[in-house]
Amino acid sequence: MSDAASLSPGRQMVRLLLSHPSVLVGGALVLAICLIALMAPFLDTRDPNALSTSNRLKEPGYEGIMKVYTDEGRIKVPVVFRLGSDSLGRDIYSRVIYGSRVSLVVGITVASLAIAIGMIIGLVAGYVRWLDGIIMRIMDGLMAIPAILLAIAVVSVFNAGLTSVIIAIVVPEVPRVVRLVRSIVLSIREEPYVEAAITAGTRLPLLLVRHVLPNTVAPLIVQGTFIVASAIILEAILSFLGLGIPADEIPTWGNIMGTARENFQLHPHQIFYPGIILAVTVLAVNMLGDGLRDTLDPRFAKRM
Amino acid sequence: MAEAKSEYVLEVENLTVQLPEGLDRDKAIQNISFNIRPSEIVCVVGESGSGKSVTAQAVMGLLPSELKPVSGRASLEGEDTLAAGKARLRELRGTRMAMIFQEPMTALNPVARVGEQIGEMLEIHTDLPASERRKRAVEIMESVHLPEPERMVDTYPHQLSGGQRQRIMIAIALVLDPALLIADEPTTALDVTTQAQILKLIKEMQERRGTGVLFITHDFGVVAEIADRVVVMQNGCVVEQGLKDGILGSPRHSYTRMLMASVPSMTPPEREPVNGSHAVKTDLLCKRYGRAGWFGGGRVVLAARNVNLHVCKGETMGIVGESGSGKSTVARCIARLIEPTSGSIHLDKTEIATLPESKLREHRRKVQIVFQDPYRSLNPRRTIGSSLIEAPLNYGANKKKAIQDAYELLDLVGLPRDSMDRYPHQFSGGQRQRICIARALMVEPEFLIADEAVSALDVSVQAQVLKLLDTIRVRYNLAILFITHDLRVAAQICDRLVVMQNGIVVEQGPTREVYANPSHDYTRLLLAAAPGGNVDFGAGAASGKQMQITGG
Repeated sequence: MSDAASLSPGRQMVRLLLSHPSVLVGGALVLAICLIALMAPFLDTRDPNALSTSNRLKEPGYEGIMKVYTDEGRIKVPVVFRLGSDSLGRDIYSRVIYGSRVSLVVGITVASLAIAIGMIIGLVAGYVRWLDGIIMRIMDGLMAIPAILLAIAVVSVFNAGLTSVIIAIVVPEVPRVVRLVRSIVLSIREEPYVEAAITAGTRLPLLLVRHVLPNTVAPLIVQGTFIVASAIILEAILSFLGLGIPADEIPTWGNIMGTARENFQLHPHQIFYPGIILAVTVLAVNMLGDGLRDTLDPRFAKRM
Repeated sequence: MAEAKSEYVLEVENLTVQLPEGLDRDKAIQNISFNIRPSEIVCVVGESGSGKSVTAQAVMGLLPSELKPVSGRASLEGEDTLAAGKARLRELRGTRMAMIFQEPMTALNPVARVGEQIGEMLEIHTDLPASERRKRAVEIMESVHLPEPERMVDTYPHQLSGGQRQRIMIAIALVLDPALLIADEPTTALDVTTQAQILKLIKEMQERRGTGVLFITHDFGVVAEIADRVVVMQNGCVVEQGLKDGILGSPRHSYTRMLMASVPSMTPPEREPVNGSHAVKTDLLCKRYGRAGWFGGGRVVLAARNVNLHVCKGETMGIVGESGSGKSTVARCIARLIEPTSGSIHLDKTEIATLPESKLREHRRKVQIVFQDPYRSLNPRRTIGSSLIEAPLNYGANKKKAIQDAYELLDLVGLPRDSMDRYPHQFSGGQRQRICIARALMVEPEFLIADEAVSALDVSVQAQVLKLLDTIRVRYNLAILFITHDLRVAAQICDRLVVMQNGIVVEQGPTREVYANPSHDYTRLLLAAAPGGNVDFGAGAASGKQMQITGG
């Protein structure tokens, strides 16, 4: 028996993954953005919400003076606006760096929640036959409404804020996960090895966890990355429209661009920088997802 | 030789095809040579992996790109197809050589009418106008004995039965009168009665048109039925070839002899009737699939109708029948993988047909199944060991004890003990089936269902697994329900037999009696359709005795 053959299927997968270029490139970029978000305070940033009336609408690289209140009273410190400042004199560089936190938190939380909820509903729909019709018609109904409209509706019910934005984006993502899990469950439950487990007296919860769920892992990881990317975009759209997280509380790429919209003709760079990093992030996540799909689940690649 | 061109349709000379590196052997086929004359059927037999299909693909120019013919010639009417360019090959395929495949559903285009698919051949290779093409399609459909060809020419493949689809495939292959027809296991996916009809049709077409046929099969019954000459292959090499009677009557090579000795005989051996207590008994068991739709028009199928049968302890009871006869449905009802619609099932005096899932659990241990497809009946993500001990642990066994039992059962089924830590993909089909048998035995069941358990295996492996089943039956005094479509296998392993058709038991009785004096027309039809039914491949009688040893 050769060395490779005696590895568990899981280990073989890891080997295969690391040999795929788009997994490597996409993964490295995603990792870099995660590091930026984690290390934000140490990347020569300032309080992203600090206003400075004297430094409004400055060009990138502008060197100005900022008044700071300390224990000894008001002092003036020299500051550099690497990417310029917005209409309230806030440092765009700091705001873009801190904005990555919101995007990643929203992306990852939405993906985890959507997968967790979708997996449970999908398992129920796939295994409890009489509930299947009811659940799937509800899911069809949800999918018939455009995600952005549904999100706007959900946000307007709750108060604007991080939690309501996350809920607003999870709701339209869940049906996609439900469909995926249900279709896998429906095909796997017919497999002889699942029937063999039933005759072996395996109880339903264990049966699902041990024999059915492992088959959903690879497709769900892939689907998860696509949810991350679409959640980041949806959050940016909501914030840009002023429906998401308010710009004076937490900076996000979306609300930075929303604030900058008014001055776009004179100061296009204010939209340009957050736009670029948003595009790069989404591209990186999608690249990672594509690579994972090709290696983890070749059949899924054809289904998309 | 100047006459060579006219004498043979196909001459294969020293053909060798290289395999990609890193496989268990480096040549797919090695130095293969054989010839086919017009109006001659040459059967290539061998087990899986012997290179039969690669030979056919090489001749057709259909080899996958990883496989390269490295030497030799395959000349079709004097023209080397290995040297032919792509355009020329396309021209030859259809006009001079044609192929039919095992699975007629996947070989036909599901979204095109069958008439169009026959016409497509004419459209590509001739200048006939559309009306003429349709006329020719109807003609050829008539000649392959399809009913109402005028109407059927406009149907889609899914509207036809398996046998009709295979007839369409043959019509497509023969519409341009090719000199060579390659048939790759064309009847393997078909029921035995349909198989007999298709074999007859191929023979008739080939005689009428003078086509040379290269017929690939694993089934010696089919060989006996149809072949003029036989080529036996093993591991990519031709081990023996010659006239049918010579090969079947007095095989020279030990591999041929082994293969033929493994083919079960159609004559059931003498068996002592088993008089144990009933392990399982069904009364008026019914299973209905489907239900009326919400808006009417739902389709309802009665898969099993009033089935009465019983299996005694220490007995092998067979259910034979064609696909759709309800034999698997009965088994799955007894195992309660599906719920019976009505009727009762007594398992060791407990009525289990209506038992709710929560109370059923303690009875599940007593009924175990070995499934047909060894590649799908083991969870690919779990080691053999964890698959084996799953059931005992479910019933609260001690883990150490379970592992010890697993080792002992691996010994019993003839697998090394280090199999415990390996994964299913590291085993062959026959080995996996042994693992499944070991898994079934882990909980010391009283009743074992073998649902086509040997149908996916090569004959030599099949013989070993059958022997193993017989050994464990005796050792554990097990009641075995053996479901099969293969009458040869049923003849050798079953004490009693139930014949099913369309969900109804049409006949049951001791195997020997059913074979000798079938009382129902359908049983007679089945027995007559079994290919090569009257032939007992050389060692047939001997193998019959061999199988019997364990019974006594």
